[in-house]
Amino acid sequence: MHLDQIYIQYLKDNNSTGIQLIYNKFSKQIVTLIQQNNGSEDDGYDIFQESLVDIYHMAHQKDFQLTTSFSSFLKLVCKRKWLNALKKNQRMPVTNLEQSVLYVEDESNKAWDEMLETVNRENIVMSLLDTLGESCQQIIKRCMQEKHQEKIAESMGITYAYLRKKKSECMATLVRKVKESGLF
Amino acid sequence: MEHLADKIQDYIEGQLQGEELQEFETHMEQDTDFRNLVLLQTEVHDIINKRLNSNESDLRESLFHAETEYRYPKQTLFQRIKPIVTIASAACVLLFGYLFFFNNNTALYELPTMQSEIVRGQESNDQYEEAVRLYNQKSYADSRTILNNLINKEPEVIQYQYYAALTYLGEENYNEAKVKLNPIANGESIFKDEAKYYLAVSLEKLGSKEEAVVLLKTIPNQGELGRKAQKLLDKLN
Repeated sequence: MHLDQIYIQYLKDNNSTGIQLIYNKFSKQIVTLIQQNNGSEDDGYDIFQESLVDIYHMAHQKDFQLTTSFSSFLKLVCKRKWLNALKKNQRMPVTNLEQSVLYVEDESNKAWDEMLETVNRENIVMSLLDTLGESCQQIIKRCMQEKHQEKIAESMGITYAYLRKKKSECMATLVRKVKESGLF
Repeated sequence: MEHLADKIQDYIEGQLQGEELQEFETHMEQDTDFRNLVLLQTEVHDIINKRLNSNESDLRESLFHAETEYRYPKQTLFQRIKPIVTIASAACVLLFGYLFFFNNNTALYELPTMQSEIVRGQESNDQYEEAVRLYNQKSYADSRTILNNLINKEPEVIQYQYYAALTYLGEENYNEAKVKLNPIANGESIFKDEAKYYLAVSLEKLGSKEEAVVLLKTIPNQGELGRKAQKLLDKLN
């Protein structure tokens, strides 16, 4: 296990002192990197924060082990995220940037790429969920988080049958959007 | 195929049994597209389940504090949130622009379809289904008679009250629609935003344009309802 695994643990434990340390130690280099690649300071901090969230999710995957320095790993995640953002917004041609951003250093990067792809797919699903109407979001989220659906229906002022029907309909809408995203 | 598509969520949650389960699984084996759809919905279901239980929001809170501390150590609260306000304002302008230019065809005054309750493994509520049928064929008074019976039996079910209120709108009885929609719009059920929208429609029809505008502004801008509300708002402004 790499010594820098401690930073992963800070994120996993939501350790506020540790997270402050991560900001103090690593945010500047990432912000500078983004600024050197057509981004603003705010873009840099956004990418930094979203990448830490991605790492948090990756860290919860089974067998996740840091095999390099946290700094290198963080840079890889941030670069990939920024590249996706550039592609999405078509802010600059990415062909040349892609070479410098995504070159593979060793075999472990391959495994990380797969993990990042998984996290990216999850992010897309969650952002599409946020585009549904509020009642659909509420139904899907509550049904996933609470056990007793009869009670959910009661608290929403609807019948249990209506809740199930509506949830089916909302999930079908979400799946249609996911399909249309072309990434699944 | 269509009735089976309705059962995908029940299948994922392990609610299908016996013949129904067998029919579903046979169809999955025979129809590749259907199987892929089930697999995709299962993946989506699992992702949401995982993410909602990941405590991500707690982490985000810590990240926000750490970033604020690092970037703005001595600034006032206003100075801290100013960039966020600017970005949010720009995002709102872009969103509203998008909604205005690309969603021009929504029927603003059309009533929603009344949702049937028929689902697997449940005895259907015949009275309710009859109300659904009558409402959807625009026989509003007849539908309302049944809904009022249901309201008497189960006054806590807002769903009955909501559709009963809409029957008045269907009859262009805006005064009564306003009276019936008002408590739902001010309540906490899942119909509160829809009720606000149709209350705003009633108010507009009654000439209370300003009240309608105020109400429309309180509707969250996500989803189809958010788009409709914004479009009506644009029209009234």
